[in-house]
Amino acid sequence: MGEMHQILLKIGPAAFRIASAWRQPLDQLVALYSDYPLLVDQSVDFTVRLEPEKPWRRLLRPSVHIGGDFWLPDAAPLPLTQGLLAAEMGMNLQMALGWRRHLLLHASSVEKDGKALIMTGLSGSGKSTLSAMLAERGWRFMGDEFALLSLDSGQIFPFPRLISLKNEAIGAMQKVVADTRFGPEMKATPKGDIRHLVPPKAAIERMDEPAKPALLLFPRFGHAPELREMGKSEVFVRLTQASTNYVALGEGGFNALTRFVDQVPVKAMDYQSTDQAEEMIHDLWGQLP
Amino acid sequence: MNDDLPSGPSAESDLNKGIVTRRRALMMGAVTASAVVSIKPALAQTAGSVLNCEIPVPGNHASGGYIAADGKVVPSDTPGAYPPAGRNFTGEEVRRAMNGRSLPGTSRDQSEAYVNYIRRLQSGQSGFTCYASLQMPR
Amino acid sequence: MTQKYRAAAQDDLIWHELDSMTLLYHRTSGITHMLADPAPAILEVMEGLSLTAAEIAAQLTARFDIESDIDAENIVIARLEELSGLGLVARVSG
Repeated sequence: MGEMHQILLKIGPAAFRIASAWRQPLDQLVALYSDYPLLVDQSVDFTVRLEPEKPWRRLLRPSVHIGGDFWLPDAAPLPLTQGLLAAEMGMNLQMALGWRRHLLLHASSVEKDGKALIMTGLSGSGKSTLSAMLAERGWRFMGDEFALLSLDSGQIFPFPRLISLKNEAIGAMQKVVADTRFGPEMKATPKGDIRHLVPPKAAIERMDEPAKPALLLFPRFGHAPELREMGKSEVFVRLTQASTNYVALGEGGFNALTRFVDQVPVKAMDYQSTDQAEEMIHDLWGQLP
Repeated sequence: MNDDLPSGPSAESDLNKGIVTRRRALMMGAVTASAVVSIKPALAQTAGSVLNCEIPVPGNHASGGYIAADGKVVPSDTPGAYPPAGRNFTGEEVRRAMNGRSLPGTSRDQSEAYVNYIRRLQSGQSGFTCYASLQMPR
Repeated sequence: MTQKYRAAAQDDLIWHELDSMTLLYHRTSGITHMLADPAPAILEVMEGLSLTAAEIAAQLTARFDIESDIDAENIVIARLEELSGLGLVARVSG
């Protein structure tokens, strides 16, 4: 297979080895993760492997297959120009398939006053962009892909990886954030145009600080602004669908998720701009006990 | 279907179960009305939103085979059968094809044959996990 | 029908009420089920006992306020079949 290069990364409670047949994606990761803590020893939770799709694709139209300790069949390879995206997807895949220390929810989360706002929904709901925007407006960024729910304490733990901005969100964030915090432009990826954004320094420094979940939102971008109640049964089912490890965690997952649904107030939030969303969030936050 | 919570001395509640035993109204439903839904999110469904997947037509297990209109893999000299697709299709492309649009680079009938092939995929065959991840909302 | 049925042991079950549904975690299978009426009530009256569908229907009628013009026993049989397919109820032989 040829020589493999590697780097180590710590994001929240998880430690990764990223092994790659090419230096380029690793160089990009090192630059973007430069403020993240160094791993003091070599013990990692997961290894991600970026390898040529076929041996001859190492050099000729280089094509990156995403693999690692945990993998899925039928994974689509990416061109080397999107190697950074491949590495991020590889890390997400390890978490999604292999993490057992918390209940994983597909959600973004931000913190204020020790309390966490969690936003969950389908691709395109805007949860990632909202978390990036709120992080620039006084909230601490905890994650844009996974919220980690502790089985013991019921707290939310951060997983503050690089924020993955898509299409219009890229331009919107470029207006408010210094260019040095952005990764390379990647056009026409399977998920559209993507640019990664380094989270604010405070989010990185406080990546081990949990917060008590205080509000759960189901945001929906592109609809007239409205807040709606949701029944707890519906919320529970949607959260099991939004969790990659609910079933695997068995009784612990059941207890953690039922407690979460019992205790955390929920709203469905339709919005057409981040300003509208921020206003609704501000009002809801102010009404919390 | 809200339970009326009891008040009054004759109410018993089994705190371990959280069920209140009391003469409350009980909706019996109909014989044919199922009363249980089991939570079984598929592995493919939840991880599918993290990773992009693709489906070869046909897969390795049937390499070189042609695709009949009903999706079965047939010998190359079968009349009316379509040749292997020149490229893999992404989960997104297949999802759109299942919702009425044609697979990229194919005619309506060819697309339909390919989609029928995909619908017939079994566990263990190339593309099955990808196809399975399309079934549930992401 | 003299077929008797038995519910899964209470120790194997964790119940949790939500607004319109009852959640049931089955330890043996690791599966979470969502139950609507009359399923929770059926499991409740069966607790620790081996009962026929007729006996279960009679218990439900005694303990709950049920619509009068329905075939409770046949509905109970249908739900028992459903629950036994999920491993929450077993047929008792003999």
